[in-house]
Amino acid sequence: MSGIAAGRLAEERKHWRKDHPFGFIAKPVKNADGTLNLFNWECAIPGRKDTIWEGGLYRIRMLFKDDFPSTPPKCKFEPPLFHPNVYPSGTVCLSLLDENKDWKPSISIKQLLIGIQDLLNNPNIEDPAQAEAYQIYCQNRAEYEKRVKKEAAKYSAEIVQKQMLE
Amino acid sequence: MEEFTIGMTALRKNLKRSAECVQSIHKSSQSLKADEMEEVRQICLDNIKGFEELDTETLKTMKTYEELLSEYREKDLDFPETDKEIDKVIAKFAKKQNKVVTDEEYFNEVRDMIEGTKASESLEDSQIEVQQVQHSRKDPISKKDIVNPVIYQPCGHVYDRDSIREFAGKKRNIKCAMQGCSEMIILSKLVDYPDFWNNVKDPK
Repeated sequence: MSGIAAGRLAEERKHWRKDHPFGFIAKPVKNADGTLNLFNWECAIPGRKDTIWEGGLYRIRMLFKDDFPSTPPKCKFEPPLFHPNVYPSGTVCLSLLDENKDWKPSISIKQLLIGIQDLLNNPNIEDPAQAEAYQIYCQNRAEYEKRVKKEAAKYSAEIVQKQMLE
Repeated sequence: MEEFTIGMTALRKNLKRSAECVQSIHKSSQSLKADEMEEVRQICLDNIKGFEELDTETLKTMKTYEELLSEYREKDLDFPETDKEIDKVIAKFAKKQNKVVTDEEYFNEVRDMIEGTKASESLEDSQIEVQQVQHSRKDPISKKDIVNPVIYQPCGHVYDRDSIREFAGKKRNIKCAMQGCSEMIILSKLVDYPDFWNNVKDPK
């Protein structure tokens, strides 16, 4: 199975380098010997324009298993993000990333990142993953927006881009 | 005796009608989600199996009584009196019926229709659809260019032959890999699709 996974991930990288949505980052990490680890990608998702997330660039790691694309990658915000559908560990809870729900082997890394960007401003209240953001979102929307904007400022695109180039 | 035969024949006819009903129930389940559809499919297949068993049993019973009767008539034997003796005689004749020619073919056909819309039937439909579809030249699993295109006609999605085979491994059925498609692909029903090259997006 791992033959399929490695081949597919190499294609994903090729496609991403050829064409990817503006402001997004996605690259496999480098091993100590300088080769690429295609099963571990460092990515970043920009907050969409005209939303409270605008201005921020949110780092997220994608971890692929040997049986990819049978199973979806694990997607984890690093550091964990203040959002109702992000677990305290940073892992994203999204039907698209659930093998038993909407995951399909044809879904590309690009589609996943865009799907997660969409989740940022459209939290799913049916499926909360952390208590803090969920409660504030439900009880005090003004406070929630304030907190999100604070996150956007903390992870401003400029700073995060620099971090990622290091 | 005549009434008995008529009754049994009617029973068998009705079993087949029920099988067809189950088949059309399955057909109307195609708008459900993949997991629900799989459940309906299983229930339908179980039902068909039940019908087939019942049909075979009915046929055996009919034959048993036919032969029993003709034997007793020919030889002008006295019919046994106690229930026990009757049972014994019936069992003797029933044993001979293990090789009756059942309607296996009929039920297999119904099963095929449920397991995957039959290729010959869906061919016409999918050809109409295919003319409007422009395919990506990439295989949905490997994301590499398709080399040997194969199509699954019930949903019209195209794969590279080697890619889908490797991906399926030992499995005989896999869920279609395309987003929004709930079809269960039966690997043996994938067919070569040379027309792919005429429908592909931006041919090089």
